[in-house]
Amino acid sequence: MMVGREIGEKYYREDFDVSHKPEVALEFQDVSFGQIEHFSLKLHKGEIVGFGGLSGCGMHEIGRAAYGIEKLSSGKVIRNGKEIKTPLQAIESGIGYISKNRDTEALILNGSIQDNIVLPSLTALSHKTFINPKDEKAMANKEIDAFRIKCNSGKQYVNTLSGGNKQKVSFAKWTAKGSDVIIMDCPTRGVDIGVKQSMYALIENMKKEGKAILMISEELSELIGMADKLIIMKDFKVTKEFMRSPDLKQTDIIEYMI
Amino acid sequence: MSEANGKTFDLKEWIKHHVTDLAAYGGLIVCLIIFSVLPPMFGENLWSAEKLSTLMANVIVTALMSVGAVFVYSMGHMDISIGGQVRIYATLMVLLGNMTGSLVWGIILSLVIAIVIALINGATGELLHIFPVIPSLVFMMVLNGISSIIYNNLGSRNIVLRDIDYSIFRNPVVMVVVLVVETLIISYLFKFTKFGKNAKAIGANEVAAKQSGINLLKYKMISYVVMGCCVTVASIFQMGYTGSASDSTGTGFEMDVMVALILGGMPLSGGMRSKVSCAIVGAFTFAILDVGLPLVGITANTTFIIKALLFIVIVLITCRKKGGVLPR
Amino acid sequence: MKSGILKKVTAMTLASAMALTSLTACSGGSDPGSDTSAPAQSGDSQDASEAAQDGSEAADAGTSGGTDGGTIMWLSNLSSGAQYEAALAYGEAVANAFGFDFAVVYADSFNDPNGNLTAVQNGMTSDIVGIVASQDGGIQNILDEYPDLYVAGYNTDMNAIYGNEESGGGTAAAVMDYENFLGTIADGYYDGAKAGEQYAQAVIDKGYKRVAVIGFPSYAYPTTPVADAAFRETIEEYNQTADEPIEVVGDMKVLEFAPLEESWFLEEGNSDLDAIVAICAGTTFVYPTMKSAQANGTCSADTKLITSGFDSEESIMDDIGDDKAISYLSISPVEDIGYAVALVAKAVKGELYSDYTANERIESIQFTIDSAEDIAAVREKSLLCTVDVNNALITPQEWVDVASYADLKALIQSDQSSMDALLNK
Repeated sequence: MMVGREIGEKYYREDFDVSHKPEVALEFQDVSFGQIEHFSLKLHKGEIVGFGGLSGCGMHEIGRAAYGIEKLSSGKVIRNGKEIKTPLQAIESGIGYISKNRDTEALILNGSIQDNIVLPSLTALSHKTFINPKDEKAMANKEIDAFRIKCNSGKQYVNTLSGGNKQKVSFAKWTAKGSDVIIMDCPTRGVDIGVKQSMYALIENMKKEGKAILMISEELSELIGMADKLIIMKDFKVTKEFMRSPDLKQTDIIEYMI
Repeated sequence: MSEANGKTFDLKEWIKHHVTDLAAYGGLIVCLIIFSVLPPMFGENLWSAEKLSTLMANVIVTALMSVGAVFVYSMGHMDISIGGQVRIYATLMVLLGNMTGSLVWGIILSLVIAIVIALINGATGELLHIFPVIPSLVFMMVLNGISSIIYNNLGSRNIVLRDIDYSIFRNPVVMVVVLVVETLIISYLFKFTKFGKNAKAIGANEVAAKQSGINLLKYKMISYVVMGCCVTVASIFQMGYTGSASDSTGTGFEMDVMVALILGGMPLSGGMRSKVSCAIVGAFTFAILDVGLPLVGITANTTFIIKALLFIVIVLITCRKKGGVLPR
Repeated sequence: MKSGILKKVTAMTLASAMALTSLTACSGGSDPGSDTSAPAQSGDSQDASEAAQDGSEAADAGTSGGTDGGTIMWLSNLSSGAQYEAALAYGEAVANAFGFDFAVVYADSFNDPNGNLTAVQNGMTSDIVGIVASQDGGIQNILDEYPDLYVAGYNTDMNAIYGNEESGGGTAAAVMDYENFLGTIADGYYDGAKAGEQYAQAVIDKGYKRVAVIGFPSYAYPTTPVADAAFRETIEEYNQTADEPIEVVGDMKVLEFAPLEESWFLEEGNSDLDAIVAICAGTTFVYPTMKSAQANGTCSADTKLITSGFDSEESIMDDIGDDKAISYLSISPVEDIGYAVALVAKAVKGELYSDYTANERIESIQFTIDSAEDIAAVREKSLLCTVDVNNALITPQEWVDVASYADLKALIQSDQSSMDALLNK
C-alpha cells in the first residue's frame, strides 16, 4: 500500500446530483478585463463549478477576478448585491481564495501554521483590539484537527510542512473564517493521493453544507469527478459547458481545450 | 494532532529558529558581563549611579525611536527621514517654547507633523507603487533644507530654551518610566492586536497578506503613524536633555535605529520574527558599548571600530537567508 | 555544510577588513567649522590618542613628579592634523609638568550642546578633574552635570557665555557666575573688529589696490560680518588720505561650508584682484579653487590670498611667502593650550593665583606668516609643524613657574610666543 490507510473508500464524488440551492452566491455580470471579454456566470449555493483548459486559457484569471484581484474594465462581480473590487471586500463578503501559487501567494512560509490560519480572521477575533492568544490557538487547533494536519503544534512553521499539509493550511484559513464561497485554483497540485482523497471528501462536504465552490484545475479527471458544471476555456473564451454525468469522458472535452 | 518526534529534535529546531535572538541577547549579556567585570580593574564602575544615569541618557532617544520603528521595519520598510524629523521637532519645541513659555505647543505641532509625514510615507509607497524608502528620502531632504533655512534666519547654529524648566526630561527615572510605558504599549499593539500582526504579515509576504484580506494601505499607514508618534516622544527627550536644538540634531538617527535593531536581532526584511524586544536589546547593547568602552580606557576612535565590528558580526549571523537583506 | 562555514568566515574577515580600513580613513575627519583646522586628513590620531592614554609615561619635555593628580580632559574640536597633534602633545606635556594626565574626547562637529555633553559624559572616568574645552556648546550643561570639575576654554571665544544676542551668543551667560569656570583663551581676536582691522592693515602694507572678501556664514560665525565691516571701514579711512585708494570689490561672498566655486572668478571684477581676504579657513575653502582658476586662466596669476588657519600639507606650505600665492597667514600658536591647562591645574590643586579675580576671555597673540623666511621658521622650528614639544616657545616648566595671573596672561600674549621669537630661535 502506498499510503498508511485504506483507500477502500471513495476517491471522487460518487453521486451525480447536480442540484444546488436557488440562491446565487456569486455572479459575474458581463465581466471584461485583460483579454477576457463579456464573461457571465451565476454560481449558486451548494454548487461546484469547475473550470478547465490548457494553461494560458484564462481560467486562472477568472478565479482572480472573482476574488477582486483583477481590475475590471467593464462589468461587475457581485455577491449579496455588492460589487467585489478588492480581496478585502471579497473576504468580508465571505469569499475565500486559494491561489495556485501556494508558496508565494497563498501562504506565509515564514510564519507558523497558527498565524496563517487565523490571518483572515483577525478582525473577528479582536475584542476591542485585543486578540487573545488562546482564541487564536483554539481556532487553529480546531482546523488542525479537522484537517488532520501533520505537525508538532500550531507553532510549527509552514515551510517545514509537506505540500499536502500546506494545502490543508490554505483550506483551513477559509474554513476557520467560515467563508461560504471558496475559489480554489489547482487545489490538489503537488499533493499526494491520500491527501487528495481527503480533500475531495472535504469539497463534497462543503457542497452538502451549501457552500459555493469555484474549482479551477488543470487535471481533467478531477473536474470530471467533482464538478457539477464544467466550463472549458480556450484563448480566454468559454468554448463549452458540460454538466456532470457518468458518461462524460476526457476525450469529449479535450477537443474544446486545444 | 500527531505526537512530537522527541525532545532532542525540538532543541535543535529551537536553536535554529532562534539563532538571531541568541546572538542578540548573547551580545547584550556578554557586554554586560564584560563591562561589569573589567572596569573595576581600571578603577571605574559601570554600575555607579552616575554612569547608569549616563547610560539611560545615552539610550533613551535611540530606544524610544527603535521601539516604534519595529512596526515599520517589520513590514520590511525603512524610514530614513527620522533624523530630519527629530531635528525639526526639537527645533520647533525650543522655538515655540521660547515664544509661548510652554513646551506643549511645540509638542502638539510636532505630533501633527509627524502624523502627516507618516501618513504620506505609508500611503505613497502603496499608491504609487514605489519603495516607501523613497518618500522618506524626499522628506529627509526637505526637512534638512527647512532646518537650514530656519537656522540661517535665526543667525545661530543652535538654539536654547530660555526660562523653561526642562529638568524633568533629564531625570533617569522619568526616562525609564517613559521607556517602559512606551514599550508596553507598543508591545501590546504589536503582539496582541491585528495592527502588529498585519504589519508582520505584510513584511513576511505582502501578496499573501493582501490575499488574506489585509488592507495594505491602511495598515502601512498605521504602522508609520505608530512610529511617528514614538519619534515625537524621542524628540522631546532629545531636546530636553540640554534644552537645545541645533542644525545637526538628529544627524544619523536613522542609522542608529537600524544598527540598534540589527544588534537586537531584528530581521531587516521584517516578517513574522520581528519583535519589539529587538529594539530594547539592541539599543542597550549599543549604549553599553558607548559608555563602557571608555571605562576600560578605549578612546573614541577605537570605540567606533569596535561597534562596527560587532555590527558586522551580527549582520552576518542574522542575514543568512535568501529573499533580501536590506529593507525595501 | 563545511563550505558554508568557510564562506562565512571568509566573508566575515573580508567585511571586517573593509570596515576597518574605511573607518580608519573616515574617522580622521576634522571639523570644517574651525578657522584654524587642517583639512580632513586620515590622521595619525590613532597614535596620538594612544599617546594620550599612555600619559603616565614621562612626556618628552621632562616632567616634574608623577601624574597622579588626576586627568585633565580636552574636549577637542579637531581630531587630526598638525594642529591637533601638536596641541595634544603639548597639552599633555604641560599637564604632566603640573602632575596630571591628559586625555582627549571629540566635541560635536556642529557645536551642538547635546553632542558635546554626550562626548564628555561618555568619556568621563573617575580620575578626571578638569576640562579644557575647545567649543562652547553645552558648557553650562557640562558644568551643571559635573559641578566639581574646573573648565577653561582653549581656542574658542566662548561666544555662548561672553557674547550677547547681537553677537548670536550669550545663551549661557549664567556660566560667568560659576565658580568653576575659569575663562578662555580665544583663537586670536574674539572681537571681530580687530580681526577685520588686522586684515585691512595687511592689505594696506602689502600695497594691494583691488581686493575682495570671502567668509563663512554669520549664523555659524557671528564675528565674521563684524570683521568684514571693520575691514571695509579701515580701508575707507585709509582711502580718505591715500594717493591711490584701495577698492573692495563687491560684498562679502558667503561660503556655506562648501569650497568656493570657480565660477566666482568669472564674475565682474573678480578675475584680476590683487588679493582675496578670506575670513574663513582659506587654505581649505578658497586656496584650491584659486589655484585651479589660475591654472585655467580665469584668475590672474598675481592674485594673492590673505587668510588665517594653518594647513600642514606640503604643497600649501610651499606656497606661502613673499611671491607665493598665500601672502599672509595668521595663526594662533599652539602654545595657547598651555594657558588653559595651567589654569585648570592650578584650580584643581587649590592654588589659583592670588590676583585671579574673575574668569576672563583673553586674546591670544597671532603668528603672522608673510614671508618665505617666516614659513621656513614655522616649518623647521615651530611646535606646530614639528609636533616636538622641545620646540615650543614656552616650556611646560615655565607654565608651572608662573606666580601670578598677570604673569600667566603675559606669558601667552608676549613676544615670547611671537613670530619674531620663532625667527630668532
